[in-house]
Amino acid sequence: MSLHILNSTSSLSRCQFSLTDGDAVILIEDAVLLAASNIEITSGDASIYALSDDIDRRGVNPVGAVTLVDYSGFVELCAQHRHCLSW
Amino acid sequence: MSLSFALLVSGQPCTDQASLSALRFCKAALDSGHSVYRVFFFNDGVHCANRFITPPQDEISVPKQWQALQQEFAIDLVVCVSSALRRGIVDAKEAERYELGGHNMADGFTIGGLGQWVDACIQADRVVRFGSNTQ
Amino acid sequence: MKFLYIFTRSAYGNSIAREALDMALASAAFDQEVSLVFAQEAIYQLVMQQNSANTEKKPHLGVINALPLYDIDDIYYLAEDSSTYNLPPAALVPQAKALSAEQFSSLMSSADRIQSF
Repeated sequence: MSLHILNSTSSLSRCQFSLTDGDAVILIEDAVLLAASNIEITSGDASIYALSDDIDRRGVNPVGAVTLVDYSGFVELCAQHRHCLSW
Repeated sequence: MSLSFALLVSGQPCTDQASLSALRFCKAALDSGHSVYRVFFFNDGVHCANRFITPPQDEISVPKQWQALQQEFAIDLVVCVSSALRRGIVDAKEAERYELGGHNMADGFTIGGLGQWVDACIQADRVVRFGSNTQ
Repeated sequence: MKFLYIFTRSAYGNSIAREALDMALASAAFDQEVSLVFAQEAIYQLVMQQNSANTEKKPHLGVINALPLYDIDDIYYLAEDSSTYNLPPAALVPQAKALSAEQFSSLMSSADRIQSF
């Protein structure tokens, strides 16, 4: 089970090939802009999170099934997933 | 359950958000009762150790923030020697070895090889990287 | 430990491709079991016809060809990328092998440490 950490708007297309069922995705930094429209995961079925600090800083209105977490929530997600991959 | 983290920082102050995200993550991990085995500054991340970084007066320098964290929690901040040299980040020893006439590595950081990152990957429970948004 | 490195960038236009490869080499030098997957644009790192006679940096192909000397024999690309980028196996270094999506998934499951660049 992997946590995929996306930090830019081009990260999602870059990591799709490696997503599998049970994985989670967290949007941080500029990737939170992806939360402003419905996110399409084409490989597997992943839970989507976004870092609230970066969402608030950029004034993004998240749509769809995105769960906001703070930094301690981000840490907790990493603790729950064996592999943390950054894209 | 308390876990140990190995953090790789491959983005640089000013240019991208990686070093700031890593700082906040590191602090949150420590505040949550986890430990940080090592923070390894690699590729562009070596710039986090540049003591000459002088941000605008209303911002705090990234190297100083890492130093504060290092002083408070005694975390191991290691700068990758090969990434550092090619980017002009040098400690006193490397400056002398290459006769550079000056050094710019901030206190609290130590220079080391990739073997230290490999060791961190083996010893820590979790490995997390913070990179630039073009990497 | 089984270290899996997933590369997604081509060489030359950035510094991370070469330095991440150096990291993989260091892992092998420290006796870890290393597998490399050159995914997406990184498949270009495996192209045989890289002509770097006029570059001031060390030719990337030299490092790719030296991988077996570091006991790194698990060098892979994704079959899908070979098709997407129109790079048939004959265009790529012979030490690299194609992976199906299932094989890649299996490789990920069996790794102890996975790092993506």
